[in-house]
Amino acid sequence: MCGICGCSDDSTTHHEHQMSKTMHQHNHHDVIQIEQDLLAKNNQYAKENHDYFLKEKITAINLMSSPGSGKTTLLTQTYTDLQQDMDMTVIVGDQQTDQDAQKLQSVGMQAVQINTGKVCHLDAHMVGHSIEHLSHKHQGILFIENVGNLVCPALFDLGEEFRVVLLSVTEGDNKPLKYPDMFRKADLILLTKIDLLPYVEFDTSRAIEYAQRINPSIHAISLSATTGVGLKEWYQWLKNASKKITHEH
Amino acid sequence: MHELSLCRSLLDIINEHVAGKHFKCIKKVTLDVGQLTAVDESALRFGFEIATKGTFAEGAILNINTVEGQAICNACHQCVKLKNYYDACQNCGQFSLTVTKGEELRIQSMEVV
Repeated sequence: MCGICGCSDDSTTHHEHQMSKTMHQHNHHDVIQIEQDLLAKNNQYAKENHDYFLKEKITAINLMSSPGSGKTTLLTQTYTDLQQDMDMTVIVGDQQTDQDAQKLQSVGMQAVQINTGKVCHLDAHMVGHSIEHLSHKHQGILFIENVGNLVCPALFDLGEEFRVVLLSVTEGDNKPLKYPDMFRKADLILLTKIDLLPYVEFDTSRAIEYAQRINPSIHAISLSATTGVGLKEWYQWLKNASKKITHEH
Repeated sequence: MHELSLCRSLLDIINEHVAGKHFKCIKKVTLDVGQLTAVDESALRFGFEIATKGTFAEGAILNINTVEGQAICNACHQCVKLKNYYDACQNCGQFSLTVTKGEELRIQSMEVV
């Protein structure tokens, strides 16, 4: 509000007031139409990543979940079991430390750590830069292990072909309803740590039903990286995903 | 707190539009934010205040237009309102919905002086 006369300060037109002694004039306001997506820049980087992945026939998979759902453990087991069959590399995002990358490297996997510092998610620009550090630059699977967080990473497209969300049975089976954004665009939900089912109240069919309410086309696999239950189905899914990229594009 | 990242992107977009032009400051920024988007309005306002501090958008009014959620039901093919992703179709009770509105996250306009 204009302090002199009380007229609306956000008027879009140039106008003048005639006052008793002085005359003051408001600055000219211009309205610039922008109509641009707030995520446009990220999406542009994501597109560049995506084009690069397709050109090199890399199957990029964005792995997302809450912290502690078992992403790194599943990846180390997956690499151990499948390394003879396919090339696998990983970009791993955490706010601090390179402990996850070290754990993945300890089984022989090529792992690039991104520390996001204060940022709670990976974005397409960070991923684009970390690709430069990968020596495998053709074919194979590239896992992008996102920062453990069930909210923020959902918004940021990284240029991946597939989105996989892990939900461990020690969390709640209603998580898909509580954090719908994460499940909405996912291709696959992995219910992890199912060896712990006897000790927790978690209804796997209910969790899947809730996830399918949010996303009717989501596929679900229950597994345990510790006992090996369900891993075969996960490996088959990975092989099909990789085939889709190498054959179709 | 992805809202802060969004506000940094917002500031980048603003900068692109004012580069090389002679404006004194930004008075108002208008956004369309869909009701279904995982963006919290108060966090966005807070992020905007932080991100614009010391820039010529400092103190600008952040005007947020909330866009209501809307979907087409895959079962009954009606266009229905959708407040939450987990809601059933208001018409037939099924859960298979294709969202048509409410996921916007767009900078619509800004007012400069």
